Amino acid sequence: MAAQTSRAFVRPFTQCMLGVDLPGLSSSQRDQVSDFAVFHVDELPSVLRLGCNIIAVVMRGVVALPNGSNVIAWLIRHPLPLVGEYVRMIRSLAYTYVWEHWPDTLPDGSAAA
Amino acid sequence: MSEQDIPIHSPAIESLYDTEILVIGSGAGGATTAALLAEAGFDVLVVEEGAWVEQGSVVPFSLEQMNQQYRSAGVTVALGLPSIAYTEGRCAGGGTEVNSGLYRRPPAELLERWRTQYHIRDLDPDEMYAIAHELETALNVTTVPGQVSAPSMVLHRGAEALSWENSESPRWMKYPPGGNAASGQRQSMTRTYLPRAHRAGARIITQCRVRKLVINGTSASQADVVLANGMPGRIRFRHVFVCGGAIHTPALLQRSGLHERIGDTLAVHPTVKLAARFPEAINVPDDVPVHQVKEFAPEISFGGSASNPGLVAMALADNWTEFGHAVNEWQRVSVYYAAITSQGKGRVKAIPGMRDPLVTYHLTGRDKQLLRSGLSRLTLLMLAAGANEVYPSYRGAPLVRTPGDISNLQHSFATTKATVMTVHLCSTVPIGEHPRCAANSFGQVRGMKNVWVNDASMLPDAPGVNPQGSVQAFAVRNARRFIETNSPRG
Repeated sequence: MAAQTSRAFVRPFTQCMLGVDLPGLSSSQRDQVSDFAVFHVDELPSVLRLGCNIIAVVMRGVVALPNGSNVIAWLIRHPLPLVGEYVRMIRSLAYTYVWEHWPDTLPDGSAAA
Repeated sequence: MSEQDIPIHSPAIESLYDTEILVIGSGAGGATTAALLAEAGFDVLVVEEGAWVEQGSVVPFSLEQMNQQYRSAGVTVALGLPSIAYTEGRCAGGGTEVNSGLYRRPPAELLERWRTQYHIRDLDPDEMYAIAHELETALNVTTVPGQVSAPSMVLHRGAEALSWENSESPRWMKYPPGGNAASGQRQSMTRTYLPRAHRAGARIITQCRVRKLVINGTSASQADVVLANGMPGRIRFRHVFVCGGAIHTPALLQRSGLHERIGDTLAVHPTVKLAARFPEAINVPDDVPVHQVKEFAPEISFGGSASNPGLVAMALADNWTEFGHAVNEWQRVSVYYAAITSQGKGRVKAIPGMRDPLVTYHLTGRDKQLLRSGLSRLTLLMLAAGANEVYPSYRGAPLVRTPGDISNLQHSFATTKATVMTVHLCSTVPIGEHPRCAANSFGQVRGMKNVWVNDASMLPDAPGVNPQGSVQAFAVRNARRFIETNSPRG
């Protein structure tokens, strides 16, 4: 149940955040990074996982807005309490994954020439 | 089958185990306890929640290692303002399989303070240093043969330029003849005390989670466990040593109905980080620097962190627009930390119906000032070592190129903007005769005849140095006291 929740709500947010933050990543890379983020949310200690999934549900709603990616970009620049911690955690996981697996990736996520 | 053919460990599959001594956890405290008690003739069973992962089968400090050997795949947080990210090993050998391998004896003034403030009975510095000597021999504590790594030299060079006290911290590591900094083999618990326990007859079972101890009055008689196959099981015992680390030892005791002063005094060494770029390639992705700068110790210490490209990116992520360019030069970048001795306190609270406890931590105003001061001085240290650019890890941090830029850092830093982390957690079941202590001077949990703690949770407070040496020294001391006062079943 928890795993399904993470997949349904964390994945779309991660995809949207990567689109804003690292637009040069390929869709297959975005998929891998998103799966990695979902895995980590599922592995969180109980209380954190519960809190994270609640925020993830809210953020999923944000992503669904017509200008959702603009809101996500704003949230990255202006971290709010709790929500900001969620954004920061997903970003940290994503960046770590990207540069551990593809260390030559450029800062915008695109592959080195 | 000869003794050598008997596997050192096996997954937990039996629905019922019987043992004289149950040791829960196989890290620095548990493995040491198990070896000493088994050698004294006790029937010992060690249970470990994680798997046995052979050294060398995963790249150190990699995401794969986090998945296999860390609790919660390496992402755990003590909630607070700010929250503090922490990591714990969850594998055979515990944190000793994944940590830096650096070793420090407990300082004499620390032992004296613990003896007087916490009323630890018979805490004799001479005895503790004799034990430390034994440990150093058993673990092969030594310095690097020849030249230390480039990121370690950065700390040394910067400190020397500023005339700050610094030294190479020895590690428990074996180097082959003619070896160098990159050729050491960690002398973690799966290489030392667990094989020693096994040779003395201890059984070691892995992938076995202890749900709770069954307690009647002042004695525990049984552990309810979840086996490797997910089925429930039981372990009957005469004595139990809980060595699950500073978070999960108190959580297990609480789940078992023991609450008095347990889990209320979590202590940590909070750290803040930065990345620094140098003119030359310095990055060593799979190791950490061995130098530490102790000019402002014990309040503030500086050292180096794991710095593979992923971790460099994470250190830059808070200010990606301004700092992100450095990731493409990760070979010239390394990550460093400033750690403080905190006066804050945290709590570990088991919550009914939840598998994991709630962990909270509160930094004091003095702690926050020390973190600001530590990050500023660490930045200065990097510039003195020749860094071209320094990237402090907090939101809104300035790019630092000259000492003049550090005043911007001092003005803009706030702990709520920073990624505060720790790897040293302790003191949730502190020992001593003082009323605030949860266990007696030798780790026996108050009010219980046969329940003991013998891991980082027993340290009275954060030691201000790498705690593994202190944990093991106390574990040996307490195990020996147990042997003196209890006899193996015939």
